[in-house]
Amino acid sequence: MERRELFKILGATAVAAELGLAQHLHETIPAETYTARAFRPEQLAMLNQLCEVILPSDEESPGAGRANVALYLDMFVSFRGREMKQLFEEGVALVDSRSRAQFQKPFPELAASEQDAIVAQLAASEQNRDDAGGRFFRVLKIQTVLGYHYSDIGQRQYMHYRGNTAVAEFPGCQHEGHHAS
Amino acid sequence: MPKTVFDVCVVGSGPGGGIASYVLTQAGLKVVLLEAGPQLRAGVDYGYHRSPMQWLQHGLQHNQWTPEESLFRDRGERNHFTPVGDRPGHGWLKALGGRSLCWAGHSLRFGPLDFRTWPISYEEVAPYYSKAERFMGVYGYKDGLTNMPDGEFLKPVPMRCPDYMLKRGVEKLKAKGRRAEYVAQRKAMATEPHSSGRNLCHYCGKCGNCCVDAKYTSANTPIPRALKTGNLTLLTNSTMTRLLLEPDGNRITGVEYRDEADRTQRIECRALVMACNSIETPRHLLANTTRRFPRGLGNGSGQIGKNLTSHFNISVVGWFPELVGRDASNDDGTGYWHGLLTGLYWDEPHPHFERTYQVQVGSGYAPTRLAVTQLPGYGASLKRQLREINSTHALMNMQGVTRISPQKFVDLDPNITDRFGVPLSRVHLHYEQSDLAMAQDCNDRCIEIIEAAGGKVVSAPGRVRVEDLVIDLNHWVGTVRMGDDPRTAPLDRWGRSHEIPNLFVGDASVFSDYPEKNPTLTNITLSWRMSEHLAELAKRGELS
Ligand SMILES: Cc1cc2nc3c(=O)[nH]c(=O)nc-3n(C[C@H](O)[C@H](O)[C@H](O)COP(=O)(O)OP(=O)(O)OC[C@H]3O[C@@H](n4cnc5c(N)ncnc54)[C@H](O)[C@@H]3O)c2cc1C
Ligand code: SF4
Repeated sequence: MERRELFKILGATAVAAELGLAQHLHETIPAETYTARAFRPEQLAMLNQLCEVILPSDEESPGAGRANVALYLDMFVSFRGREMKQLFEEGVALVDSRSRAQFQKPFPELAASEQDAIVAQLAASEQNRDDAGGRFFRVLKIQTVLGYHYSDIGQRQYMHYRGNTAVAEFPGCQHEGHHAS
Repeated sequence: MPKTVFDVCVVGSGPGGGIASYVLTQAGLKVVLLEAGPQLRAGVDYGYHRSPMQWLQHGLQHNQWTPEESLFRDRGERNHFTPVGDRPGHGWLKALGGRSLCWAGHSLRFGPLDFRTWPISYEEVAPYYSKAERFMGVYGYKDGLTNMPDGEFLKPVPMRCPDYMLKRGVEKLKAKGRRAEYVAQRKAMATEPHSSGRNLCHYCGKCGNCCVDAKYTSANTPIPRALKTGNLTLLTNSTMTRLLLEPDGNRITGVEYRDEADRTQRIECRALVMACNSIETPRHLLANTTRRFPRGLGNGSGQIGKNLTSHFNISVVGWFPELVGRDASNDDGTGYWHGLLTGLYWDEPHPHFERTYQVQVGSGYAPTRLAVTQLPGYGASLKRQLREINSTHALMNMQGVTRISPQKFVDLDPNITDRFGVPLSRVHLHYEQSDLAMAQDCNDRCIEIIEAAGGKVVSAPGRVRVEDLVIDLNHWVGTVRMGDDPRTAPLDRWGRSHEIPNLFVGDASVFSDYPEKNPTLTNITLSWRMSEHLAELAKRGELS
């Protein structure tokens, strides 16, 4: 929507709220239209699998891999420049070489328990700044968390968020039990 | 063409200068308002609703970890002062309205106890608080607290569940004899139709950049109304560079400024109101010297730039297992901060620090402002914990007053000038033992309250170190203070120079002392009071 147009609508707040102004929050990076800038397709596939191990699917909501957070990571890395790209490229290569050394297969082809074993090794050195795997995992994890919360799936299905819109009233806490002291 | 001599020149269009322009033009005076920055339009030049993904793109483009738009961060001045000591900042948004464009709107009256060290009492100021609140549109509950008096409020905005948890913790501790209060915030936003005609608030939580002008700014309420009187000449993109005086140095005759086309211009006026903010106003007074005032204009007391104080912060984050499963569908409200812990050490001072602190409490989930991102581990448990903590968390942010002492002051940088040749200000900040003691007490009290409320602490400084302290770069006050004794204060009880009869100050530099409460409502209130006084003097021909 044009900014001016939105301004006009939001200016008439009461009307907007009555009409139930459409929420303008949905969005995951659309896979059909987004062209990856930082990573090759096989790197994106591996990143999505790592994201899925970090924040997995469950009965309530799809995980970060299924929310396509790798595309967010691509956007993040391409904005952040060379050093960040190198950190990710080396991280992805490290995961690949560890998978082949330990299980004789590339990461995406590993069984869930095997993928988990690889990620557990990275996570174990998360706090160790001297460890390349740990350094990569720290950044990967925070960015996966952020990317997931920006995604449509993360906001709506996982957090049930419906905000970023115009409403006539803010109800606040309505639980009587919370008000009692 | 005859030269225009304005009755009053106001320099700076922030909360202080904006209200002065309004009150003075209403009184029939011819006023010129000089503002260094441009005019920005809400919802057009700033403050759009975008999807979180669009914000993200914006943030990445600007190399920001927090992608949410921030008028202040995106457009704030850079390299405009010299910091000395413990990481002082100096906030300056160069635009019509100053930092009122991006302020959060928190509007708390100072109380009777807070004015004990001032030349004026709460009772003298109270009618002006009422005028200011009615004019601005301030929402709030009537809480009946002794030292944070109720005001003229619009429809209040309720608290979120985590606020009620903390309130419960406070009540439990009060039952054991502790003194504290937990109340909802009071903010300058139109929650119901208001005389300013501003749009109603639609509770979208983007208040640092309100896109519909529901929040009070200098640019959307006083300045348009001052223009309507026909008595205001508004000059934007015009930077005041020099103060002009009579040859004997007793009266201001005008100012020199650089106009939009970078030409040097002069304005003549019968009175001057400085409202450039609490760092820039003393800077200009110090930078202009005459034979009579070798230490700066109106600085016979030597106090200009001294008595600098601000608020400083630490944060404690907690969460509430009892609230797990609560509905986070629309937590936006009027932004993050809905709750306030106050009433601490009002009448019983702490043995290890002077003055006191309040704690602003943020809560609620928003996708672009995830409170907790770093938790140990990964997998199902991480996913569960992130949701539990982020939807039930409360972030307790101390707002304490730094000790007023010779360790904190503003002076001029002897080596660096701005592009107009005016020396930059130097802001000196050195924390002291009492500042650390205050932050430590806040850390301990917040943890105590979270635990009394049945919550768990996610993060806290623990043993507070100077490195944990963060100065509030937007809350400086006190650098050109009011006082009855010309030997110890540059300004009289109205905000008029003791030494230069047609020089007035309309920003928060004038504060004689500082409580834990946010400065701007009081800045507006005192500027209103000063302006009525100025208009009265002008009417009686007593400006010289
Ligand atoms: C993000 C943020 C949130 C805040 N939230 C709150 C809050 O909730 N409650 C609260 O009480 N306070 C809040 N504040 C602080 C508040 O905004 C400031 O205290 C207040 O704006 C100060 O008013 P002022 O008029 O002194 O100065 P400013 O707002 O800084 O305005 C000064 C104006 O003068 C202009 N100027 C300066 N020098 C010159 C010159 N030489 N020539 C011409 N023009 C000049 C500047 O460009 C500027 O427009 C917040 C600030 C920020 C940044
Ligand atoms: S919540 Fe209200 S005041 Fe804040 S940005 Fe939205 S409309 Fe403006």
